[in-house]
Amino acid sequence: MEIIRTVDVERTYEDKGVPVHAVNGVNLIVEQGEFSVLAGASGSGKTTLLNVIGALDVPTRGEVFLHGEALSQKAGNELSAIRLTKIGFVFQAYNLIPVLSALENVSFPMVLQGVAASERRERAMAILDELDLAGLAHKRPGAMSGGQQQRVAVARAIVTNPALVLADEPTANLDSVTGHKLLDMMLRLNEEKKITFVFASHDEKVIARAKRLVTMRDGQIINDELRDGVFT
Amino acid sequence: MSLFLHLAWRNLWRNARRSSITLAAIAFAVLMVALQDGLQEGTYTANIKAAIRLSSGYLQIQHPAYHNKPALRHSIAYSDELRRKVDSVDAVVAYAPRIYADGLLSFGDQSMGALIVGVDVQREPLVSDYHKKIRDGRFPAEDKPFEIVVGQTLLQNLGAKIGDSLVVLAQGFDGYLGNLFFTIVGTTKTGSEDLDRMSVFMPLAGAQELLGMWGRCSVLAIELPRLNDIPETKRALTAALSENQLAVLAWDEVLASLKQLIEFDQISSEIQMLLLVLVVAFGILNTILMSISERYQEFGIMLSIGMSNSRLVAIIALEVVMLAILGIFIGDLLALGLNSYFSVNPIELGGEMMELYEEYGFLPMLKSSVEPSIFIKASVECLVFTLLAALFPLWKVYKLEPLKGIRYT
Ligand SMILES: Nc1ncnc2c1ncn2[C@@H]1O[C@H](COP(=O)(O)OP(=O)(O)O)[C@@H](O)[C@H]1O
Ligand SMILES: [Mg+2]
Repeated sequence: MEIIRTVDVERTYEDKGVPVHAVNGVNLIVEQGEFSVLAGASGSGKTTLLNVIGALDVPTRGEVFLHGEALSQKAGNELSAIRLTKIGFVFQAYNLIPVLSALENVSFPMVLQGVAASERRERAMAILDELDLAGLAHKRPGAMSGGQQQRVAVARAIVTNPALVLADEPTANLDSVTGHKLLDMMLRLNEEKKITFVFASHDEKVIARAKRLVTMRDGQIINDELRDGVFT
Repeated sequence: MSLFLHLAWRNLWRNARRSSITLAAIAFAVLMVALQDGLQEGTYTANIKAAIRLSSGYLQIQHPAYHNKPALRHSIAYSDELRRKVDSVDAVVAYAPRIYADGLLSFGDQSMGALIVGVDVQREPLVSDYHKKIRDGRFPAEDKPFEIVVGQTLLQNLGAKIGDSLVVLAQGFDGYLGNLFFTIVGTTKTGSEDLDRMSVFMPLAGAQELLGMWGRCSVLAIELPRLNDIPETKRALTAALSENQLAVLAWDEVLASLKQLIEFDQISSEIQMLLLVLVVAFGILNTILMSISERYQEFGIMLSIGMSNSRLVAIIALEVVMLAILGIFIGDLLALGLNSYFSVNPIELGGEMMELYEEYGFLPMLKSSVEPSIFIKASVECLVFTLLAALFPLWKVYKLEPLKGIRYT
């Protein structure tokens, strides 16, 4: 099933009067169950493309379809609702709300969705358990390591059962071992629960795990290949 | 919802120092406004009551033309009918007829102008404090119409003493010049320099005799339990006297200049307080702005995971309201302490301040008040200004885009 389709997407920034074509005509389809990595040198447009896909940024031209619906037709609060229900985000660092515990952070999207307190707690606890993070439930981000914070962020991203999880350089601030551990976890979620992941990363560890590798340069896709022929 | 409450509450204590400063600023503003208003309210009330007990009474019944032209021909009949009608109004505690007239005192080869005040010796003490202002001697006896009390400065100026007799001359109701002997039985020290230099007090009967005013008086002064009873009672009296061609005036109409002085003072200190609150509000605006711009990154995360801007605004507003309520509570508590203290222990003014106050006919003291309205006004004023100060930062949050905060490279 198709989740994302971009059609001739362009995103141009104005930098002191000079236009910067951060994304410059991208056509990309993301299917259910993918574990894909947008790779490319720094400044090649990975983050910008990921943000456009995630309804955080609006393309200058072209169109993004999520589950067949054109995002350009949506108002600001509708985009908020789409991000809340259909997309999970994991950023490079500092994903968590500092004054909330891990449990509360994971519960947060459900609070926004209006899920009842008891169910919230149950579901958040279940996810933390499943990801071996139960011990962190009552810790605040400040008392966690970077890797722990990133894993709690993944828990928060998937707790609403989104259509896809977008992760922008999720390993960039982690050491190699911790980075691998995070990727193991995400790969397991992809394989066991069929959660769709799209990464933007130039980290070799991430690229090595990609089932589909989309390489960008100067805002364009220059290569798009399936690895291991794993998915259908 | 409770998670949002927690979030707002914990956010407050993240930067405890800044929150404390904001808290202190709000509390300070509330304290200053409530203290200022308390001291004003208390001092005004004390002065108004003193003025009421020293001259006007809470209300006065007069001839409609008397206020603008206080002449004897604008006096009123002090009749049974009038007494009955005044008695019929519930809140009236007591009333006393008075005659005011200009006269001349003659003692030996000295003569001096004087304000003659004729009072009902029995009733007057229920309405005024003249009887308490006797410095030497005593108040005239009820059955001695020709006893007189002379203001102490006036007595000195005349060179007379208690026990002496003097002649009082005055133009009477019918235009003829009346003159009668009076025996000096006491002197007053009222605290009002004018009164002590100008006035003499005599029994109503003596004044009526002197002025040919039998059965008449200049005004009827009325005592009420509280200042707040004035408007209601004034209406009731006006209604009761509707057929009599009489005017009912409140103290602030009789003593219009005192009322004006108070209003002017009120306005000028209102402006002062407004400026103070404005300055504090700008400080608050700054701290809120700071606390917001420091958190753009986490706001960005919250917006990214699907929180709406309006909800984020609601959380920040909640923080501000919590801080405001806490600050207002502290400020009110401090103000209550100080206002209670100064309402029981007035600050006595000395030196230049005392002279200034007395020059304006004010009691030389500052007294406070614990009227609830004082604290309510200070609280509402500071809450409104704090919320106004929050508007701009909140608007910024409302316009915040998720990516604004999340930039790593
Ligand atoms: N907000 C912005 N304003 C101006 N230029 C931007 C902005 N965001 C990104 N760019 C530019 O767009 C290009 C692509 O950036 P980005 O998508 O972050 O690349 P990557 O994630 O691959 O490093 C870069 O040249 C970057 O400088
Ligand atoms: Mg990037």
